[in-house]
Amino acid sequence: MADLVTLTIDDREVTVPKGTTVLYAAKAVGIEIPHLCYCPGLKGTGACRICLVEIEKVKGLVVSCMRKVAPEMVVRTNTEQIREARRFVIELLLSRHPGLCLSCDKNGECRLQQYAYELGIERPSFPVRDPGYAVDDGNPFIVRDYNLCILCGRCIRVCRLQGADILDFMKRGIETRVSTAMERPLQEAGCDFCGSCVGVCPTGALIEKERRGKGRAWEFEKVKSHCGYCSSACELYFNMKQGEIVRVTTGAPADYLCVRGRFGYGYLTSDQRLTTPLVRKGGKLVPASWEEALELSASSLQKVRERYGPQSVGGIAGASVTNETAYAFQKFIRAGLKTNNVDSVLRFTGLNLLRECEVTLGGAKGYASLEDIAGAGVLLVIGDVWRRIPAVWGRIKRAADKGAKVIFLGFYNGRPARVAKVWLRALPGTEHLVLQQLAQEVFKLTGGTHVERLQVGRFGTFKRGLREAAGTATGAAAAEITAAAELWADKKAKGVVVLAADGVTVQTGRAALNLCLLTGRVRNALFLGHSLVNAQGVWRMGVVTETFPDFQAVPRAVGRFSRLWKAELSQTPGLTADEMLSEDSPVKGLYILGEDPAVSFPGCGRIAQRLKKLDFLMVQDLFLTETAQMADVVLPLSAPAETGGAYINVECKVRQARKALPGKTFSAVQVIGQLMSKLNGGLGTERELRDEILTIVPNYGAKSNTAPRPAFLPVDSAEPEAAPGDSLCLVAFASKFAFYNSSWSRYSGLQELCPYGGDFVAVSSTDADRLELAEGTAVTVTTAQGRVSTSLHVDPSLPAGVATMPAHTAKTNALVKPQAPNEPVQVVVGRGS
Amino acid sequence: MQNKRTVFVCQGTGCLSTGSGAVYEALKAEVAKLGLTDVEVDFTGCHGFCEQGGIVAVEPEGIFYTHVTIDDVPEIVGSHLKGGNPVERLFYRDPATGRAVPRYHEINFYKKQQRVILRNCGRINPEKIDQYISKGGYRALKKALLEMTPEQVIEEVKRSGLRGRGGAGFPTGRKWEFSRNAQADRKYVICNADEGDPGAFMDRSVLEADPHAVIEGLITAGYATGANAGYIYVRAEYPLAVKRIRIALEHARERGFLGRDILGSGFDFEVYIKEGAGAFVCGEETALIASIEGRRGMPRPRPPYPAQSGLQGKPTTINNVKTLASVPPIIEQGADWFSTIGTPKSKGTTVLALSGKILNSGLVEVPMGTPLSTIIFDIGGGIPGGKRLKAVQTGGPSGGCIPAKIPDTPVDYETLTMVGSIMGSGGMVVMDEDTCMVEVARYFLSFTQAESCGKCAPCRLGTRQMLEILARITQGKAQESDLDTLFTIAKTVKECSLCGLGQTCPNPVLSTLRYFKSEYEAHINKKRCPANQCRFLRRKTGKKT
Ligand SMILES: Cc1cc2nc3c(=O)[nH]c(=O)nc-3n(C[C@H](O)[C@H](O)[C@H](O)COP(=O)(O)O)c2cc1C
Ligand code: SF4
Ligand code: SF4
Ligand code: SF4
Ligand code: FES
Repeated sequence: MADLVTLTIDDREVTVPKGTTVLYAAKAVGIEIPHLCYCPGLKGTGACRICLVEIEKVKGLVVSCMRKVAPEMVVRTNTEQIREARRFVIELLLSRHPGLCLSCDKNGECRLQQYAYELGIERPSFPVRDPGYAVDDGNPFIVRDYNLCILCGRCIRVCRLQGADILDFMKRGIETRVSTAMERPLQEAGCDFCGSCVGVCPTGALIEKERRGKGRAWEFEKVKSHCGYCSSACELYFNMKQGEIVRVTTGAPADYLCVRGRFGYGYLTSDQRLTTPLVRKGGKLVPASWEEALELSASSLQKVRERYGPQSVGGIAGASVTNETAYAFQKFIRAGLKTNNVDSVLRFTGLNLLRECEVTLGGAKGYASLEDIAGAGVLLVIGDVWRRIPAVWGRIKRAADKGAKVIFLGFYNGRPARVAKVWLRALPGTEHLVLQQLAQEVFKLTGGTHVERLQVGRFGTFKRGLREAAGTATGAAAAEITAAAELWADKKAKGVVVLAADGVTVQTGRAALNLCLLTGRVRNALFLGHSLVNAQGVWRMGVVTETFPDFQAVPRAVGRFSRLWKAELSQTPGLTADEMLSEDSPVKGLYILGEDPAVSFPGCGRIAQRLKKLDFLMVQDLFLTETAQMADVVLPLSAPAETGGAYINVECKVRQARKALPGKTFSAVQVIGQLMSKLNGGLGTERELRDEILTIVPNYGAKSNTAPRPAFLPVDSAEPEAAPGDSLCLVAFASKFAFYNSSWSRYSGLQELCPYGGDFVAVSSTDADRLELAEGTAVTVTTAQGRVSTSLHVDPSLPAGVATMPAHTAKTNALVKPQAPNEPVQVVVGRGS
Repeated sequence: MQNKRTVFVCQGTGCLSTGSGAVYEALKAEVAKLGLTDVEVDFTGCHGFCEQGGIVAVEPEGIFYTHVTIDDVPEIVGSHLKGGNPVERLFYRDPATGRAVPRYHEINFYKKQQRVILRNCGRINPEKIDQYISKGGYRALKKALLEMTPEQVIEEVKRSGLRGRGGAGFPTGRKWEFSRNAQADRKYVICNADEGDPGAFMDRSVLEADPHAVIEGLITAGYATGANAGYIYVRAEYPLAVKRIRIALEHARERGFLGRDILGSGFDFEVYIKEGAGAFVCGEETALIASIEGRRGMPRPRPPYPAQSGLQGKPTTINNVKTLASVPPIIEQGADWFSTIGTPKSKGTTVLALSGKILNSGLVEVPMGTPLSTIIFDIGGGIPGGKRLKAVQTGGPSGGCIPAKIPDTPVDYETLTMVGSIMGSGGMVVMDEDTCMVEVARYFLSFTQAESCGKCAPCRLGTRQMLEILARITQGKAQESDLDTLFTIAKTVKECSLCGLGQTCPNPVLSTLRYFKSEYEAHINKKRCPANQCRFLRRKTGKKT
């Protein structure tokens, strides 16, 4: 075959694909060539010179990590001359490596140590000098001791690959070292704390702060799991010693985890975790036995239901729970409490959009994966998606580096804006109009060919909508829209729209999906991110009022589920989460699982008031959250990593996790099973439950078998109301470090990385000057919804006229529109607290 | 005296530092004041004889004044230009004989040189394209673009035997051919004018004195390889060179030698200037490319060679200033003419920066293969103070030391490599009997050690270890075994380093170990510096420092 190459390595014949490096070809026949600077997944650099080999007819020694194989090449990897050269290089490296292996945390996994051993270096040939650099441990997660650095440059390359690109070599000669620009501390240098650099460092130069003194690699057991934060659900390995997490690593050294995945495990191990049930007695929450708490919960809910009817009780769940827990929860509410009042946080975080995309694209097949982004030719990136699903950014950057044309739609002058070929600087709230105008231009270029081929419905309405949107001022220049249209209309380029379902308005999401339909991009063309890990799963498991598991509609499927569950079910359609929490809802007894509505739901202030009026509130969570503090019964919740279970991630793939951590409490499924058995029947064993789920929802719904029903979605093209005078518009904007669930962020130390611990309002420099407010000033922020005090943060990446606050925090939720938290609202920022 | 005469005041960097700018202005004023209509005052770039600056030449007579200051102006104008009596006291004085030599071509320093690369240096005003054209400039370009195919140009350059003047001596025609044959939508040519060697100023001189020669060569290279864009990577410490390149580019564009459809040939070409930050290693071609791309100038392993994947991943040809300046004469006068100069394997001329313990220091251009002795004694005028020649170090900081016992060593690529040195960029430092060879090795290594880009371990750390040992030796603190260690490190650094810097920087050590081992041994065993230079080992009779 033309693209295979046969060569000889150490007298062994090897056949490998063209373009393979000699180092890899050797590996293919089991010959391990030592290497320090080369790291799988990173570009070669040829710096360390350890991988030197001899190649016949080639002058001098050659670095095998970069040399490509050639036919008839004859390679020797282990002659005395080579060993001599390698030994020499290692000895030189040791001359600037003042570490003491005996007490080094990396002992046992340090490559320098390993090769010194393999090459039989018994004592240093050169005097060992200590460069005397100060050790940097001034941040919560990473310790940098460049005295131990061998300048392999892996950290620099991985930091570039993952998209932060804040490290480089500085100075020359013996003084060369790795540094951020101007030697700024990591926090100030724009570090993402992804920890990738720690993951690839072959020596003790970079280590996780938390692992210091906690043992060596050989003492750790690596347990595969998935990150429980965002919908990417990245694969990770808990490194465990005696039941404690020592650190988190990845499959391959250069694999990506964001700060939450790599360092944000503190919430799992926090001593603030709830382990005993609490029961309100004499106005106070006091520890109680499981039996007492469960009995009280079941009987109280039952009583409320008996007294006020099926609409008076309900349940609301978060979307960070496993499919099993979600399923058990809704079954408990529907079959146990016999009401359809079961809903989840999705109600406030893009449920409508998820649903419309699912119907239009026919599910899984339509969704793009992270690798689809990395391999795309043209990307339309919308809003703050790269912060909600941090793994996205590295893929966007990689695509851009490979020549992909990036169109960025958003007001924020951050990373995507910087790599974008076209930056559509829409004013907040006009994103959907920009997309409509973009569609109009694309339509001019492509006509309706794809629409006809795919028989996309509602074309006429769509075209009418485009005409209506024409000419509305949005902040994006016409020329830019035309330029973007040319990129998006290129039918040869693999195109992907990248957005977060919970980070855009419904209108924007629809308009984006329409752009896919218009250009015939219906396969792997929509990256529909979500802040919460199991948004897709929770919904598929039926934790939304309208549908049972597997999207079976209420009440149509009531009969079927009555039979399946052998239980009588309510025919009455249930209330949504916002209906349940509204002022005049009939709900009097509520079970809240893994969610903190008093903080994380928009309009949280009023919601808290409403919760106080309940006859009975039961909360099951990891921590004593704001909401839990109002409860009558608080039950400890297990974390998915402690029980195992499945998620459906953003790519619509099943992420099956084993039990990775020792349980701190009963599994959520067990607890719900107990509650269930107090009412009628039970859930069976966890195994039986899983089998039940998989019969009803094959493969957890990850393989959608519905046929796509492509039809353009209606987009409201009305002009947004103009902000009066000097008021700003406030946008809830995802935090770089913190997470949707504030207690997780807090107990994992993520908030420490945020300005003012994540409690701030950000404005542009222009507005700060205009309002005469300096960085750090105590300010009040007022909208039609409410008023809060916070600190002012000047963010030069913001345009004038726009203020942002971290999305999903209590203060932000008190200010945004409860029905449309992603719509900008008018805001006044003034001095004082 | 009836003919029109031109007074050329040197405005090269060297002469300017002696105040020749003021001399130029004063001459103009004085000539105007006396109303000498048959005299024109103009300026040139460097003559290569900077230590004699400020230099003023009167053409066509060829009178050559040295050490001219502003005070000499009235006399030059009054006595010579008006009165017809050249000012003898400003003539060049032969350091060997003490005789005054009035004319350019009678001076030994120039007499034995053959100037191809420096053909116009000191003879034309570098800021006037017409003067370049009047010397035959851009004729070669016309010929190449209008009468030759790119393949023919490459063939001519190949046949001429021209090799790169940037150090490695790779055949230029073959390099061009690689790039020509590479398939790509875009290609580049780059002129390497980084010139990071301390003491080197040949490239600067050429750019300051004859920028069009380089530009013409660069355009020709672009045509031959199929590139439509060229970069001149010049160090930012060369502001005058940058200024003159800018002017030259502008003029060339005005005359249609640059831009679209050059001379109606259909060939488009643009030249961009990129100012380098001044690290020595940025002269290495892959580091240079990184630097143009806005990254830190650090080399990467080759292959792929720039001709396959260079700037922005496109096929790129990189040539030294002098290589490019050699191209127009080759095209114009033909490969046959060029290949008569030099030796069978090293054709043409080489430009050397002669310095150190020598009477005439400066830029010297001689045919390849000229014996060292000719350069040192005939052109350089020998060693001052009646001292004996001890060694010659060639090729810049990475070059080796050639001992006086082989004075007839011909200066060409192969021979220099054979004797343990390199051609390099053409530095040539002459050392007399008072030079300590251990100190010489230490001195050069301290430069390369500090300039190592730090990327690869052998170079970054090996040079440091060598330097520490050398320092110990010069301080009399070394042991016999250090010599073996030194040799081993030097050899291994040469073998294992990534780029040319590391691969050549042990040369000063290896060559001095080879030819002057006894000096090392004296330092170590007898705690004595034979040249009595090392401070820690000075004999009691010596003066304190
Ligand atoms: C450390 C180092 C420094 C170099 N500096 C220069 C330089 O200043 N100028 C130059 O022309 N070539 C320099 N070179 C050589 C270039 O890498 C390259 O070979 C040369 O520019 C090719 O041009 P040529 O073929 O015309 O010689 C240097 C090489 C090394 C290893
Ligand atoms: S933690 Fe991530 S962003 Fe920060 S320096 Fe390391 S690789 Fe770069
Ligand atoms: S810090 Fe670690 S990864 Fe980075 S260059 Fe040094 S040894 Fe390599
Ligand atoms: S040999 Fe020296 S200069 Fe060249 S890459 Fe290695 S460290 Fe850098
Ligand atoms: S692994 Fe090849 S040079 Fe470092």
